[in-house]
This record gives sequence, structure tokens and C-alpha cells, in this order.
Amino acid sequence: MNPLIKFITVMVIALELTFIKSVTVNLVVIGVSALLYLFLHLHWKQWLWLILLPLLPGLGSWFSLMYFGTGNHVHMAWVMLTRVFAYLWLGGLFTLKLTEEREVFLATLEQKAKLSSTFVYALVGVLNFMPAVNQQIKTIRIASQMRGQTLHIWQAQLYFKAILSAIRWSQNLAEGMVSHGFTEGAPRTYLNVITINKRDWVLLAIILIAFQLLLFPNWY
Amino acid sequence: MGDLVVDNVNFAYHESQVLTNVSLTLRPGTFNLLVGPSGGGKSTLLKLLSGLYPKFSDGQLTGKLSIDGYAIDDIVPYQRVTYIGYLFQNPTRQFVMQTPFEELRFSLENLQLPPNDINTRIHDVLKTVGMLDFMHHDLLTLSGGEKQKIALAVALAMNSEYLLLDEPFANVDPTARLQLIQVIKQYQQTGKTILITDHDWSGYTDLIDDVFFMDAGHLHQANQVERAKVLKQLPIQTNIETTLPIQQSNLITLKKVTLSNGTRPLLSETSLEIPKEKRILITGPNGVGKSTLFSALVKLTPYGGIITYNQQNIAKQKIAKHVRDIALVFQNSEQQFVAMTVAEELTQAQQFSYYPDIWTNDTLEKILTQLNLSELRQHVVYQLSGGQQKKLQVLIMLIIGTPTLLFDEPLAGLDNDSQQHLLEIIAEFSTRQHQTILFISHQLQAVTHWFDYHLHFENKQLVYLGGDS
Repeated sequence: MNPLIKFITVMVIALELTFIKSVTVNLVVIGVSALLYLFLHLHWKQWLWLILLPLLPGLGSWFSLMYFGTGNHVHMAWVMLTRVFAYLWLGGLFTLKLTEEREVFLATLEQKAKLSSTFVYALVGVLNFMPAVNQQIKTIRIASQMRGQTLHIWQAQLYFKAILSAIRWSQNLAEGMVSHGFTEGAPRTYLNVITINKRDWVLLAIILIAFQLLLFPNWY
Repeated sequence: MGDLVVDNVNFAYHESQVLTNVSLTLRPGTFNLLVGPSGGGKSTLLKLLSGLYPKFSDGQLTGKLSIDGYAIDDIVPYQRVTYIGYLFQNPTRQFVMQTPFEELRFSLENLQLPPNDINTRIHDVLKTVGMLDFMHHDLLTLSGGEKQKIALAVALAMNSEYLLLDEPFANVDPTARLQLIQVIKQYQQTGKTILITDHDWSGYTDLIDDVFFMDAGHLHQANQVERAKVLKQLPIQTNIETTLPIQQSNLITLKKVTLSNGTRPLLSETSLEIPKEKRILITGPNGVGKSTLFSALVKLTPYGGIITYNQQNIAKQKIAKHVRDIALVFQNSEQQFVAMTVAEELTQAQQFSYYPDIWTNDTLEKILTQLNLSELRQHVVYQLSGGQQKKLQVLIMLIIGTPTLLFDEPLAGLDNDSQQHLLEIIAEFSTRQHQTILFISHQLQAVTHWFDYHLHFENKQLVYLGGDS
């Protein structure tokens, strides 16, 4: 499935979940996501994240509603707990695959969603910069240690230097883009032309219709 | 062929004049060499010609800079690069994408090349610069010289009528350098005009049409005498006079050390001693692992086996203490700086020097004058020219006086005089400060008699060369 279509599906369902106060619906979303994760062969660490990450905010709202809420607070406590899990597991379907699908996603944004190519390539530049950040921080610290000064993580000078190098880097990126012919607003050709399969649209429709049907029985 | 006009160009940052009344005529289809001392304005001129300046600077431009009657900085980038291609001095600065393939694709898509031609052209240019095997490697893992080859490939792929190259070979090994000069020559012979800056004048003798001199912002075309001086036949193979190390007090010991770069193995199990208070040259082709070796010695990258310093395993040392024993003079000068201005950098270094008695203000003033840096004290370090940054960086690390200094291509991008001055200064103070010097360099003409020992890194082996090598 094209990552942009997947993104739309996930966003629409997530938006609807915000208005639905049903534990069952939340559980169905979690269940279906879990089923899909089984096919995706997740690493055990990713499973751990999926379980631990929603736990704190989920339990937080559960406790506050359970013991300090008013009205139908017991029901709402369970809704909130399951909703947090449903959001994260749903979102994970998109984000956990993003590293592999990044290129297609950005290309789809540029070619199909007609997002400004300046925005898309600035995003590409930033994403490519991320792995270098850690090494850069390490280098900054070692460079000052060589000069007899230890910069600790609570010292402003470390961040000053890091921000400075980020600014330098963004200037370089802009110059690099222009010197390689990038022009804001100008047409470009594409080596890989993105096509969204009819199958993807059909799948999107089926999932969304199925989800609406799920809402009918007035569970909330 | 577009008609390039550079007439009476002046360029200044606030008060300081960088270019004064520069006029330049490049005969179409020629190979031109631009020379002159560091900080003379060569890079600024090239950036103006490429249209990146004045847009990406806060300087003021007057005079005429046009191609086919259009002001260069008015032409939209994707059309401008069909006229003028530009290759940056600093190899880490010019990439947007993650791999050579993606960068080339990005550039060719910008030029609106038909998709069918893109793959072929990417393949062709990478083959031309000898980097086909690296097509899908992460650019972050490539060495300085390898990045410069990729940057050249992009420039060739864009097929510009004029090609401007700013020190394209500063980090390239001598063999590859000669190959790349031939590549550029062949490109010129397809009817293109080349303007190149290079401090190393070897290998150009029969290739260059016109030579230009740039000094303190003034440009002139070389006369017969000057031209002959630049283009005289220089020895390309240089003999480094060193001996093999004899049994003596050793400082650094490698025990079965291995190095790799991601999945690429760089050094197979090597055991080696590095003697104390000597000057040791390290040579080897691009991407062989020279910088990675230095990185491992300061614990910036992981390695296999054991490295000891003064009989202590460095893996067990605290990093802050360790780098006060062994410090790295980075290939990229900007990584060395911790302050904003030249004066602040120098004060910091004096304050943390191991030898404050040596580095008095008088000594410092003398050295700054020798290096042509004394006028620049109030300048921001990031606005210095590439050569000035390099000289300042080396000086700062000498002032610190760390017992062992690892120099990663400190001569790259420096003119001959600056190279000589810098070598003299390193020799004088490292002797007085009893320092051990490890030194990666591709610029060998300057250093034939400067080193005690010579380590060569090739085919995953690191060995001492001795006698005449």
C-alpha cells in the first residue's frame, strides 16, 4: 500500500476515534493493528515500545478518571485507556515502516499531493541530517575536551555550538541545493514516477467503510 | 557557448574589501588555472561566478557579472547550472541526499532531464570518476577524497558550459588526482571552459591555456615569467626520505587492531609500535581508512583489538583525560573551533596551554604575522577563508601543546608559502614541546625531508616504509 494512502487511512480513523466513546471499537482497532503487526514481523524491541509507550499516558488518564472523575467516569476511564493504545498502535502501522518507505512517501507527497518541492527536499535534508547529529554532538564535546574544557549536557555552550553548526549546515544545504540546480517553484522531472494503484484506493474505501459499519450498532 | 563577462567587479563585506576591480576574460573552450595565496579572494570570485554570491552572503557587489547579457545571479538556478557548474572547496558541504545515486538523480531531475537519460548519465559519470562501486553507499561514510570525486561527478553530469572548481583535489590522493585532472581535460575537450583553483601546481604543465593570479583581491593574467614558474615541470613522484624505526621507547602500541567503516573492512589485524617524540607521515589512497585510524586513536570511532598509550589500554581511559594526551587536528577545520572570533580562540588556547611560558603574547604575535593572520583577530572564525581556518586551527592545537598530535591533512588547500611556514612552525614548537606528531598528507613535495618515519596504509595493511621509499 502506498504510504500516503496508508497515512490518510490512519488519520481518518484516528480522527473518528476522538469522537467515539466506545471501548469495543478501540479494542477492535487495537486487535486489527496487532494482527497486521504479526504479518510485519516486528523486532521484539518494537513490540516492547508499542506496549510501554502508551502505558504511562493511558494509565494516567485511567486513574484520574476512575478516582477523580464525575458522571459516567468508569466507562470513560476505560475508553481513555484503550483509546491511547488504539492511537499509538494505529499510528505505529505508519511510522514503524517509515524508514523503509520514506523515499516513496516523500516522492508521493511531491508528485501526487503536489506539496511544494522546496518543503519536500528540505525535509529530505533534515532527515538525512538526523544520523549526523549524534556524531556531531560527540565531536563538539571531544573538540572542547581536547582544548581542556569539558562541556556537560547541562551547559549552554554545548547547545550554542550545536545550534551554530545546525545553522551552518542549513546554509550549506541551501547552497548545495541551488548549486545542483534546485529552483523553487520550477518544474522537475522524476526518475521514479509514483503511481497509486487502483487497488490502494479500493483498499482505502473498504477499510473506511468497514470502520463506519463498525460504528452502527450504537456501542457508544 | 555563453558569453561570460566579468568587468570591474568589486565585492566587500561591510568595511572589508574582498575583490577590487576584478575583470576576467576566459577564452571559450580553454583550461584555466587560478592561483594565489590563501585568503586572496579566489573562492569568493568563484562563488560570484557561480551565482551563489551575493545571494548567500551579506556582501556588496558592484560591477558587471553576466552571461549572454543576463546578470548571473538573476538567472534561475536550473538554467544557470547549464551555463555554469560549481564545485565547492569543502567536500562535506554540497550534498542534499543520502547516497551518490540519489544526489545525482536529484540534480538531474532539477535540470528536467528526461527520466530515460538519468540512469545512463549517472552510470557514466560515476564510472568516469571511478566511484561506480559507491553508487549506493551512504555519503556520510565516504572519506573526504571520495566525497570530492562524487561532487565532481555531479558537476560533470550537469554538463555545464563553464565548470568552476575550487580546490577540487585538496583531499584527493596523488594518483587519483592525476586521473581526475585528465577527466577534467577530457571534459574541456568536448568544448567546455574550465576555471580551476589549485595550490598544487604539479600535473598541469601541458594542459593549461591561461594562468591567472589573485592576491589581496586583485586579479591579473600571468605574464610569461609567472606562467613559466607555475607550469614548470614538477616531480610528480616524490621521494620521502625516512628510515625504519629502530628499537626505542614506544608511545602507542596497536595489538591486533582492526578497523571498519560500517560493513566495509579497512584494516585487517595489525600490530605496530609508534615511537615517542618523532614525526611520522601516514600516506595512502582515498578511503583506505587513514582518518578512521585517527578517529579510533581519540576514541571517536570503535575499533577491534587493543590500543595502548604509555602502556595503558586507552579503552579504559576516561575520554576527557585521554584527549589531553592525544588530540586530533580535524580534517574539517570548523570542527576544531570552540569560540566565535580568532582572538577568543587564541585566548582560550593560551589559557589551557601545557606550555604557557612558551606561548607569550609576543611569541603569538610573531607567529600570527608569519601566517598572515595578525590582521584577522576580530574576525569570526567561520568567515575566514579555507586556508586561513586551516592555519588558525593548526596554531591553536600547537598552543594547547598536547603530547601527541594527530594531523589530518593539515596542508590541504594551502599555498606553498603557507605550507612551508606551517611546517616550520610545527617543527619548531613540537620539538620544544617534546611532542609526537602523526601526520596524514597527500601534499608530499613540501615534506620530503621533514619526517622521521613513514607509515603507508593500503590494501588493509599499515606498514612502515624505510630507506628510500
